[in-house]
Amino acid sequence: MKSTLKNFTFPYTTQILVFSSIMIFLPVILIGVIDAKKIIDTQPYLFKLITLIPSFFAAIGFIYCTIGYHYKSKNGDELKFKIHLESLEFAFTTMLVFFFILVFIFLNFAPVMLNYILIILAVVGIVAYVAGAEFIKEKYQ
Amino acid sequence: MSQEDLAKLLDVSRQTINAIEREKYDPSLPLALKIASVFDKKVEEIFFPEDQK
Repeated sequence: MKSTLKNFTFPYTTQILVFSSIMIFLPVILIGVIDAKKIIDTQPYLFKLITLIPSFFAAIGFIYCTIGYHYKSKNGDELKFKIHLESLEFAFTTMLVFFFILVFIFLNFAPVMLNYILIILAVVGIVAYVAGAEFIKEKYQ
Repeated sequence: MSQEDLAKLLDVSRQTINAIEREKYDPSLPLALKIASVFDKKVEEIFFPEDQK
């Protein structure tokens, strides 16, 4: 058992990531298809199950993929790991700068928009990581 | 020996071998020792400091 765990390489991370992404949006799709108002009124527990079960599978899937990607990065090729670390550093620094800019803008001009700060930061972080990885790969080619 | 063959022997990607050969990337000590072992040479016979080139 111990050796099996040690040699576990987190297979199918891409497939599970796609599945989890679908599970995230499944409640929205199902609510659009079925008569949501009728179910909420007559069977509220069923409605909760419709929203909770896909979200639960999505959460498990995302946790598995996160741990899997971390494991593959750490135990894979050393140059790829170095590029990954440098990209993370670039993305985090970019997010920090954006965080202060967004707080300044939202507090002074649109305080209500502060709710969206997390989404904006997440998008900035992902874009900065992907762009950073491409720039850093050029450095080693 | 091709870059691909060397990469397979060392369990790294071909891009890593290419980057090392083009002096764009310095390998870690374990990898440098593996490379030296593959060519049956000492590490200092394969890798040189910048000021000695």
